Amino acid sequence: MKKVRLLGICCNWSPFACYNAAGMAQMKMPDNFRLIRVMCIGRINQALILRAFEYGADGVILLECNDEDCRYGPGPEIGHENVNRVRKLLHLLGIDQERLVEKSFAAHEREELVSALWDFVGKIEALGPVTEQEASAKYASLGIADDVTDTTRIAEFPPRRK
Amino acid sequence: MKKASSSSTPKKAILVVGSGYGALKVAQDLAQSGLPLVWVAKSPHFLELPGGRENFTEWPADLNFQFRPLYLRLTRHPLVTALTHAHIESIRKDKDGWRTVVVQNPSYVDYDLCTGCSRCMEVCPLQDSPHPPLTRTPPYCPSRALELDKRQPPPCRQACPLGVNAQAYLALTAASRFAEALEVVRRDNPLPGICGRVCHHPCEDVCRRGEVDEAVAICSVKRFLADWELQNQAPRLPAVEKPPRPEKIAVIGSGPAGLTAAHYLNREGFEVTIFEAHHEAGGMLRMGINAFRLPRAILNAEIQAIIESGVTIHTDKPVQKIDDLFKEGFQAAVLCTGAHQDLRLNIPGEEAGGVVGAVEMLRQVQEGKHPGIKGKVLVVGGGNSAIDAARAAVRLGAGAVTLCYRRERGEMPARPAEVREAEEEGILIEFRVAPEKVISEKGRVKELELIRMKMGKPDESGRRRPEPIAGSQFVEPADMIIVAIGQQPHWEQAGVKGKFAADSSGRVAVNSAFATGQPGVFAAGDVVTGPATVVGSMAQGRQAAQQVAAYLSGKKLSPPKFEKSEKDQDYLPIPEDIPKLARTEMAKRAAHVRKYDFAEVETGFTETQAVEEAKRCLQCASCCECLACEAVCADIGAIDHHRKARRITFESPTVIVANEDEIPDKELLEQEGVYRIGDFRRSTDIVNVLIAGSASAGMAMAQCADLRTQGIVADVKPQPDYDENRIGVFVCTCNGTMAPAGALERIRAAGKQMPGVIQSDLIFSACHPRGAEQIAKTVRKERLGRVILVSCVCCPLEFQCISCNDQRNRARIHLFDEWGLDRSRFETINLRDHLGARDLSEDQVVEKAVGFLREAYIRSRFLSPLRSGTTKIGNRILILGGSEVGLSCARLLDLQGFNVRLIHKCTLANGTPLPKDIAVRPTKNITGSNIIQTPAAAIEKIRGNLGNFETTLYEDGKRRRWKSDVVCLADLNLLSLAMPVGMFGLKKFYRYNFAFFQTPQIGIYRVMPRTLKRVSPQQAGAALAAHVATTAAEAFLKDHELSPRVDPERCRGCGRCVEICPFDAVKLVPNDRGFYTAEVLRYNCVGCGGCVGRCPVTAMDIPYFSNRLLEEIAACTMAQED
Repeated sequence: MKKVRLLGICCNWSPFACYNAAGMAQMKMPDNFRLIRVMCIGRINQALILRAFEYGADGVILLECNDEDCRYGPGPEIGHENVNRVRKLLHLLGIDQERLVEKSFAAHEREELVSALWDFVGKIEALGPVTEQEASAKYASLGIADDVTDTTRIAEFPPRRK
Repeated sequence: MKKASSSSTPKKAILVVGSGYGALKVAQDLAQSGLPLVWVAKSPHFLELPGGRENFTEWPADLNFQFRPLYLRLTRHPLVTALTHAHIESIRKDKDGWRTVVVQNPSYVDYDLCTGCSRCMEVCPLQDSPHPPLTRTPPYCPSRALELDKRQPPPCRQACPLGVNAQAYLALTAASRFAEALEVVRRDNPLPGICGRVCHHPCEDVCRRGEVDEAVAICSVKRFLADWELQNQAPRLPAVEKPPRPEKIAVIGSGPAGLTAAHYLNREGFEVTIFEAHHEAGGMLRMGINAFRLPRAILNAEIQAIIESGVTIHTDKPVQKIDDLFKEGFQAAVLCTGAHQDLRLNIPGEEAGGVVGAVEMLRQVQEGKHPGIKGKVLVVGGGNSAIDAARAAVRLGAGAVTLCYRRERGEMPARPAEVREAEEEGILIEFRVAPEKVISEKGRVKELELIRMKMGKPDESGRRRPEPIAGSQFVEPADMIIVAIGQQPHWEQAGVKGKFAADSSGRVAVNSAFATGQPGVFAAGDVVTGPATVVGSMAQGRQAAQQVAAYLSGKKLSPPKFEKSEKDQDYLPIPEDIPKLARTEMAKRAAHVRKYDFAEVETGFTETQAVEEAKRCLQCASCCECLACEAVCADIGAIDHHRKARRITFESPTVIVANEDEIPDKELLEQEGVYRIGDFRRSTDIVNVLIAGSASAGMAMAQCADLRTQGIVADVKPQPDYDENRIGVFVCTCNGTMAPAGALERIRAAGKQMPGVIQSDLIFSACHPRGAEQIAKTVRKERLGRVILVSCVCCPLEFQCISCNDQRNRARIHLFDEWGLDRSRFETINLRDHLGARDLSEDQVVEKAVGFLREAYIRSRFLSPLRSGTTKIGNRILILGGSEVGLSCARLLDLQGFNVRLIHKCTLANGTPLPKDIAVRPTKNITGSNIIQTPAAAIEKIRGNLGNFETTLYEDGKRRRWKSDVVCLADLNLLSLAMPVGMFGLKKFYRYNFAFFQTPQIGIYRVMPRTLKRVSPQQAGAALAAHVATTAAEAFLKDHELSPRVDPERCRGCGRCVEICPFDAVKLVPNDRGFYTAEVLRYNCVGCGGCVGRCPVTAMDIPYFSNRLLEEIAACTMAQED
């Protein structure tokens, strides 16, 4: 099986506390997984999630606080909204909507966080990497010509290196 | 936790007693309002709840996380003197308040230095025992620091005249760490092989294992250790560490006392020479102890070890005159000539041939002369010498040997094991008989007349005095009589002459400093005490050595005594279900064989036996003081087993008691100026406790306003313009535990290879002051514009989040606050906690670490300055509502010197009726204060921000605008006048900050109706005053460092940011061209970044988590995996 590439976007408060506690307890966490930390999941815009797919991520997980726990108030609600919209866009792009996952935690739930990460990894591994077919099949069903999908295909955006 | 200042005048500070959340809240309110406090708690940290958490009704599972930032801030707050493990020794009232003496127990692991690297736990021999002495602070305490459980010195160690640390060498032996165990023995005893054989082991007599089954065979384990070493190499003493000293010291006699004295003087750096009258060194060890008990190979080897460590031994060199030694250039002499002269029986016929003293006889054996033993031998006496002589006689061909002893078996001074061995070898023992007359024939002994004894009344020694039974005389034939009833010193006969006195038994008189009458001449061992034990003589030799060193250094040592412990903790309890296990005995050669030769009788423990026997030790004192941890902590310096308790005196205008059990006198609670934070055991609600804490802080503040130091706006130091393209990488090794040394070096090298990296260093510990110093100096020297710190620190920011811990916080304090480095130039990665399982191979570790390093490298390229700036806060306080709450608040704030304005009766200008549940209780004016009072007013609106509020109101029908820095809504909920409705839902944020009196609009305070159900109105007013003071006393509000910036060129004024901000921190302002641009209000922003995420044109951006940075991380972390 080809190794999938995963990105986590993590709120600095409850989920990061879980992640940190899990790390300090030396719990085993997936290797093919990178984490971006932000102050609040409300900080993330839809573009960043899409960018991750653009740059070749096979799955993105948003780790956030429970709705009522947000330190700043509306963070998780914005998170839900972003996820819903990006899922629609993913659908249009022909990428499986399941590849974007949203999970919320309380500060003491380190076991839950680690198992959520493993579940996420398992799920995306089952789906496999985002393939050309996955994207193009969708475009084909929408009646868009192959050459159009080729030029808009995600993998062909050059990685924006410095 | 913090070092108290050591000035002679007592420090002035408010005293807070006890741990728990209430105390935490008090400390927060006091410290943040600029008041110094001394915080005393018996527990090892401040989160131990006096009643335990079971007593609380609601206990959110994540609550402890929410207290972490507060805890970290307070324990490192410059105004807080945090004393854990401390108790109040005395507290009394004087003119300045309460004079308190606090005693802090020794903190063997320094909380301020411990990095939590856990090297000490790795080397602790007791780590796998049921009671490991080293433990981490509990998980809810946000520090990795360790605690050390230490009790009184164990009984075995206290019983040993030399104070040899038996517990430690047993612990190390049980862990099969024999070399270290032997090292522990040698700290106090340079002759382990000898003592392992001939010591009378008083340690075993007091062993607590005896309460379970039998004492641990401590002595045999020690013997095993010495034997184990001898199998591999010749015994070696630790190298002398002290610098050489010019003085020469002579030691006269090479017995146990002389050898020990010489050894310890040598360790002090002196040049030591031993003068021995006999042909071989060893004194009584050689002359008085048989080779089958102490093989000469062992004796010679251990003496050789002392010679090799630097002591010179001259044998066949009797000292005639001590004065000659001084003439030869010796500055001091230690007389250790022992007690070699046998006592006489003082009975008729004793002069007959065939009557010899035991020591005399044993010396002849040692010198290779056959003392003419044949036929029937009678030995008189019951001590070790008697047994030794009897057993030697058996081996020399005596026909029969009988020991005559005047008391009972149980009273024999000889070791029972040896008595048993002697009997196995066929020696008969006659008890309760005493010699009366030697009957001789032709000048040679023929018979000994003995008399039977009976046991009378106990004498002063506690033993029953034997009394002769009249007429019970009988005659025992004898070819030889060995007299072994004791010895006395005979230094005069040995020819030593000096100007010192001796008593009737020939013992040299010394004072408590082991000095004889002649200056510079000291004496130790049997020559002082009369015949005694090997270990006792050694102890004398060691103490005398210390005194000689003190004498030559011109210092005065107090008379030696065993250091009594300051910690009055008991030993670890003996578990009730501990399985009984018999003591291991050494194997012996069979009696019918061994009695024909002088080869050693006991064969010693095997390795398995020694380990198993050592495991029987109960480890009474928890920490065994093997000092293995001190060695691995040498760089960090956190562990010191010899720390002493501290006594700190200070003056407190007021006392706040969080835990009543921690004050010495309950009557204190009734006195004026003493506040208590509710009774924890009766309060079932955590919020109650916190509000009660604030209330007592508010009342205490009013009495100590003169102690207040105002917050100073930290000077923004101009940062040197370091080159952005010069990058430094610092990898914290966490005292060598981050990863294997090879992996660390590879990580460092990988850092060095990254483009632009000009410096890549390993740091022994980033949270240690010296580690930070190393980083800071390198950054300055190399002018590093970007720094990547690989450690456990997750972010370089100033604030603490719920994941932070003390070590991470400390590293940032050292680097950014103390060394003044620019935190926005730092990228930190927490490698320590995210390397994953410890069983990774070196390659895996390096791969993972380099992955992290690469991400950090990417981020470091996009760091931008953090927001810095302050909002000034004055001291004008407007209080709306003159109820009991408002009055209490106004009075307390007025006492602290704030400029208070109070409106007694408030109504709403628009005529809206007030809610029913908030009754307005206007009360009388406060007299005798500086409060500006207004009887009534109708409020129209409140606008502005912290430091600049404007309240519009109608007073007597006239419209007025009053400016203030802080607004308190004492009991009217006028909130709707003060802020947009959209801010009302922000309860959680404030709940997590435990700021129950704050409103979402920073700078407006209120009392909620439900608060009044918890506490009395006066208390609520006090708590409100405390909250106001924490803000207003600081005089400025720092901008949130993550507060976003707006790019006016990109902002199109759509207002989405304004709409989304829950803190009313963004507003649209018109620019000169009439367009609207968003502006972030620094005093309201909390740095969440919601507006940045919302902005459709990326006109807003937040430092440290910038759009560009997030995108680049997403892009590059994905790209690198191809």
